[in-house]
Amino acid sequence: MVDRIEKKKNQRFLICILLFALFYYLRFFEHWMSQYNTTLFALSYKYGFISRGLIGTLWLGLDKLLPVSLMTYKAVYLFSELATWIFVLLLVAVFRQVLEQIDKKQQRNARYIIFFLSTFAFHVFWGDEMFGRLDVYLFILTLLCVLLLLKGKWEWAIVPLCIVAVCIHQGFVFTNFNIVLVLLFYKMMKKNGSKKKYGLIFLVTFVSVSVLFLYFELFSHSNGTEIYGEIVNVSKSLSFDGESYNESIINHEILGKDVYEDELIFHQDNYREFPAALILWSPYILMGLWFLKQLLKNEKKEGLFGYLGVALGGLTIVPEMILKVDYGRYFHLTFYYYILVVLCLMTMGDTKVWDTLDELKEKIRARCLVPWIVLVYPMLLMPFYDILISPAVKKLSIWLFGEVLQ
Amino acid sequence: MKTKLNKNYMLYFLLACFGMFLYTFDNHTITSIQDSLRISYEDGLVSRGLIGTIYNGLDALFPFSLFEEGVQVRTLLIGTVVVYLLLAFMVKKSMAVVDESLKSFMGYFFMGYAMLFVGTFSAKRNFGGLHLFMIAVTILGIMAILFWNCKWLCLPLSIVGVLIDVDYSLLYFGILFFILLYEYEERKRKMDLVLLWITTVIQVGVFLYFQLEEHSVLGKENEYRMQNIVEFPIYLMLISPYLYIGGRYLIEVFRQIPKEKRGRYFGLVFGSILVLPCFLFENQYGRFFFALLTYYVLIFTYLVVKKDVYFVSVLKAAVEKNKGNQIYLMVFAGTILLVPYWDRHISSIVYRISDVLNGEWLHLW
Repeated sequence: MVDRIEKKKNQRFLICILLFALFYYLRFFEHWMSQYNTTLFALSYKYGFISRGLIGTLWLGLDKLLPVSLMTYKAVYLFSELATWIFVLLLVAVFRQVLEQIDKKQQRNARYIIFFLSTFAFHVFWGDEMFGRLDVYLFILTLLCVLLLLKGKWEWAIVPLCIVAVCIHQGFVFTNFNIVLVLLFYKMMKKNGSKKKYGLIFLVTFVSVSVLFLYFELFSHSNGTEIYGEIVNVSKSLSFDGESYNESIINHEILGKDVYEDELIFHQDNYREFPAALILWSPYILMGLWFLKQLLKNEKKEGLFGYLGVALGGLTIVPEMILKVDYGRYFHLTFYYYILVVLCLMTMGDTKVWDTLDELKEKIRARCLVPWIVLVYPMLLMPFYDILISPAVKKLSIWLFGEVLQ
Repeated sequence: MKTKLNKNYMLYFLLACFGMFLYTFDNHTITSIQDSLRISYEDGLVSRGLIGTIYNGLDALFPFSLFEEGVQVRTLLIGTVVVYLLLAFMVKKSMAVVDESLKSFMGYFFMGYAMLFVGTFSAKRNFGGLHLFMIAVTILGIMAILFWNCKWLCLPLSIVGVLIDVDYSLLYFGILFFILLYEYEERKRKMDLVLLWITTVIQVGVFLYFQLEEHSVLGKENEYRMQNIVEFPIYLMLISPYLYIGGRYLIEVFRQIPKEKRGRYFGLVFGSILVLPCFLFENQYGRFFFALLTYYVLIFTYLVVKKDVYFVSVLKAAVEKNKGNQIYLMVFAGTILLVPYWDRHISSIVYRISDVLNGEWLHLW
């Protein structure tokens, strides 16, 4: 009887989460795809085994197979919209798995964390900077890996899934790969866990992805000048006006040019926005640090390594923050990583995470008459963009440090 | 611990308002609002002239022009923040007297409305607009009755309201009318009836004066009519959860009220009917819907603070029944996605949907 009541609560909750996702689509979707994201579809293995070429290759292949031309803006736009909805539905499928699998006493807390993660996840790919971005495919593949790890089935499929992800975008190594590695590592370190199996999956995944990453970064730009003109023409045909294309992406990916100087003004934006973001997000950063500290406290060796992996896994984004400019994406990825990993640990039956979350909940309730505001407040500090972090952060950074002079 | 929670509430309230301000502030206001600041009583007793007159007066006092854009934004920002603090003050006073068992619910209720309020009046389409000051005047009127025992202030405040904008009579006066009627029905004091009558007569008189003086029997703004018609059902669909919750609550309340006491609640319906001419003859649907929302929020606040036996008892039962229902978390969060309310278009999310519908299928504008 109790089970049936909880099941019904979960069903109603998930339907509301889906409606919440729809609300985000209606609120943020600009119904337009930027030239940056259409240009990415022009990169394909027709020009050699280049980085970010997999999606373009599949697209080209589909174009040859189907009787309709896919090398148009409309086709790319519709496909991207479909992909984004697949991401949303897959995330809800992960939520469903969590609620089905988690201990009954943790259902309530799981629903809170699911809602909290939803506020970070649902909006990001509907904004015009991020719509159609290759990141959406990385998120889809990562969620598939998460599902496999939660169910404990077909876990060897994580290897090819991660290989596909790095072929889509070599940045996967810094952005979403940490979720997969940390969960594998955690399972490996778990008491009574299958160390050998997870150790092997971890090693094979890590090595194969690393090798591909190094290849894409160092060796994939060799005949860039020969293919440059053709790629530009294809990019133009895919853009919304038939003329635009993103020069920076082609310079970096095809010609192997360093775009640091071209992006200098964006770096300056980042340096102003970063402290403003730290100020606005400080309550959540402090809560997160407290949470991690509690996890690590008094922990024995094996468990300690597992939790250390969780704590440090979020730092894989640091090289990107030093070398690149997409601070909006990096902030989003960091929060997404920690919240999703905590949700997974809860589902996997980690009692220390359960207890720490309960303790955090009680601390918040003791200080706040309206504790739900803690879950809802981040919505005001979003949406996350790509280069710029968010409108709220931008405004505060201008008040504190002035605007960047063009 | 309860005292600490209550004391901390205003801190979280102000933080939420600040967050919403950052979310929506455009550092700019639209041309129609800038123009409204130039209308003053130099040209005679014109409608919508009060704020412009005050603004022009301030401009004369300072050595720099208050109409220069940067200065104008800062000046309007000061006025806007003062109104926000007024709302916060009303919330603080209300929370101090609300029943302990309802404090958490009312905390969310006030926070939700405040975020809609701050979000709407920080965004460019309503930043520095006359509706902000009309609501401020109404809040002062409610506080005069609830906390300062100065009912008579409703008379000058309602006059100030209609001098700010002639639409005050249709959009916001209903709130003070309802409260004065309720106050009279409660104790049947002649002074309350006299105050109600005088306030209403003067209000109607000033309203008719401005309507005739302008020769503007509501009806000029028929542009954007098609957009209003398309947006209206979209908006209703988006707020349907709130309409369902509010509707069920009101029906339950009315079931509890004995027939002989229903008179005092007549104003609840009357006030919302009063807004109808605006919807029929003008096109500022965003502002009118926000006014309607404010109408019910402020009246509900008044009744809960007054500890109206029917409203409070049904509310307590509803809160107890739905305690910890996590779906309400999304109802609370949804208010952020509705923000900001606009002027002609209802809000940004409604505009986006109608724009896509029109572009893809309707082709009406």
